[in-house]
Parts: sequence; C-alpha cells; structure tokens
Amino acid sequence: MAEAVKAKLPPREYEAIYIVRPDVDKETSERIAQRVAEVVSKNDGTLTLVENWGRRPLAYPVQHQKRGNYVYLNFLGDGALVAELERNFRLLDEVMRFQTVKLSDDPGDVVVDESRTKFEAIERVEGEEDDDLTLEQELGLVANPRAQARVEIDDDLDYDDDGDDL
Amino acid sequence: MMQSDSARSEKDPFRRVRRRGCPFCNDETQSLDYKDPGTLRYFITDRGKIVPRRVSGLCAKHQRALTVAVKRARVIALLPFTTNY
Repeated sequence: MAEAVKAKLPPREYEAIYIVRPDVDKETSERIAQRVAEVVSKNDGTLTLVENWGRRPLAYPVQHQKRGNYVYLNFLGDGALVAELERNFRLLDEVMRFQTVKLSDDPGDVVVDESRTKFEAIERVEGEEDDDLTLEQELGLVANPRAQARVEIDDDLDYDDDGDDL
Repeated sequence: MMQSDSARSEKDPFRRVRRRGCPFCNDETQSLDYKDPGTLRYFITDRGKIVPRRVSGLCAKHQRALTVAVKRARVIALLPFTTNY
C-alpha cells in the first residue's frame, strides 16, 4: 500500500551546488561531471539545468583553499537520488562542499533544454594566486589594490610609447 | 499627561525614525535567494551577523526567509560565518 502510494508521487525539483577544488585539471572536472550525470540518470532523475559559475572567491577558507569552482545543478528526482548524489560528492576528494535544496514538491511539466544541461569543463588557471589580498579585497568590498597597480603599469607603458615616437 | 508622537518629535526631531515598509513586500519582483550574496550582504553586519528586524525593517515573513537564505549561503561559502579568518 505504502509502496503504491510512493510510486505515484511526482518527481521533486531540487537544486544542488558543489564546489570543486581550484587546482583540478580539465580531465578531473570532466570525470566529476560525467559521474554526476551518471548518478542522476541511474536513479531515474532528470537534469534540467547545469551552470558553471567558474572560479569564485570563498567567503572563508575551505580545505585551506581560498577559491573554488562552483557548479550549479537543477534536477528532478526523489530522495534516494539526492542521497546517492550526496554520497558520491563525499567520495569525490575534489569536491570540497556541496548543498542540495528542495525547490518544489510538484514542479509540474518541466521543459528541458538539452543545450543547458551540458557540463562545462573547468579550466585550470595558472599563476593566478594572489594570497596577499585580504578577504574584503577579494570579495570586492573595498578597492582592490591590484587593479590600481595594473592601471599604473598601463600608464607607464603609454609614457614609454610616447618616448618611442620622439 | 501623555505625550503624542508629534509632540515628541518636536522636542527631539532627530530621534524620529522614518518607518518604511518591508522592501520585499513592496516589490514582488525582489526575492531573498541564498545564491545571491550581493543582496544578502545588505542584511548582515560587517562581522557577518544577521541584522535584526528592528534594523533591517523586514516583515516577519521575509526576516524568516532572510535567516534561512543567509544560513544556506554560509554553508556554501558565499557568505562568511564570522570574519576572524
């Protein structure tokens, strides 16, 4: 009886965000994306939206990292899928944080745009570390001294160009 | 003798606080979303604490929504728990 009632329930709508370590290479990020897609499809779920938010500063260090690659998922499924997805996130060492939120118990008919459910590869950025910045500067709350420094360098180059013209 | 509101404001005009309605009740298009730290940042102190209702001016419903949103944003490192890092 209980089983029959459960089977009739419509899929729920969830969204999940997971943060991948900033130092992963492209292959690893593709492996994670493939595994996530596999888990969702094996548990009768449907991915409806995948967004790569890219490298963002973290509000506080997680696993000694100051940045992380954010990936946003929107999917239809049941509680078993969420449990399995979160189990897989825990197993993946490259995933630093994850959070799943239920959006709706009955989302109704959802039109899935296939082009928006593709995982984008995470590109590794070399030599971007700037550990001398404070948290407020990284979050853009106060002026970033690095931006100022860049402008000054540009001014110097312009000045040199003028000198060449003479 | 009871003082009326107007009498009190004449006595100390700077004490008077302009009461505005809850911004999220007035504007249906705005919503409190944990994925939007830019909006939530207005409602946390510089130490990362959630601003109380008497300061934020939100209605009870939206203050509850704010609390949930800020706590979710903290878990996913979009907002800080505290500033001592």
